[in-house]
Amino acid sequence: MKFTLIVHSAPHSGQGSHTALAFARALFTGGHGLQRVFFYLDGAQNALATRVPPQEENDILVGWQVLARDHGCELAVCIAAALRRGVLNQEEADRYERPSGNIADPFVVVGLGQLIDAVIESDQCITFVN
Amino acid sequence: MHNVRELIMKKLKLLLMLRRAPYDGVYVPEALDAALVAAAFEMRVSVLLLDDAVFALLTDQRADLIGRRTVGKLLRALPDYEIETLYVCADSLSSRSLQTSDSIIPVCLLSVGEQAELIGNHDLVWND
Repeated sequence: MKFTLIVHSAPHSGQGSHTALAFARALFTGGHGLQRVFFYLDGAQNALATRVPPQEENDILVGWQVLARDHGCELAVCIAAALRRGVLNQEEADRYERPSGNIADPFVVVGLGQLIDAVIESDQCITFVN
Repeated sequence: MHNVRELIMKKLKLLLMLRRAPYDGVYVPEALDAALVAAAFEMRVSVLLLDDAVFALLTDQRADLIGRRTVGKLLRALPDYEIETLYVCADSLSSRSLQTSDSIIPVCLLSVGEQAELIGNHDLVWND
């Protein structure tokens, strides 16, 4: 089956993004397809390259990056949600005259239309909150 | 690979269930943004307000005082996107001593059983 995952929670404010990452790994193990993980609302903070988690905690960013590298799924962040939370790629940082971009590779900034596209194209769509 | 155009033509039905108070962060405006984009993609979108989200219906919201957009105005704009019916949990409204006459827009009150039916009638449910 083709899945789309939607992440609404920030890495540090709940279990949602960690559960989503574990679920994504399980999907690939189970032979399912996952074309895109879509980060919306506070989930946009998953794309920050500048977070420094304490040593004894897993760095979820690395988890997302390995997932994207190994399985080629897209990590898409809603641009409106990202801007509002100070998550910027270099282009947006330049546009809004902010000191620098801070989005991690390989996250891409997209419009909400991409979310709807992904929902339409997949068999199952699962949202992770809290 | 699905034929995307064909799937869009099927007019997927999306139900947005909002539960949080209108000025609890930016949750309600961001959820409604998603609903409007879905409607622009020709999904058939319904909105159901539950729990503290029913406060979004109140008249005389002065969100400008806290530097925000008025959520009630966003709700009033829904028909422009062909989101015609706004569903409201009857229990949530009455347990907060509110009535439909307090609402800035006409709403359709639903019992818990009717909400179950509404959920069953939709292809996709946003429930956060």
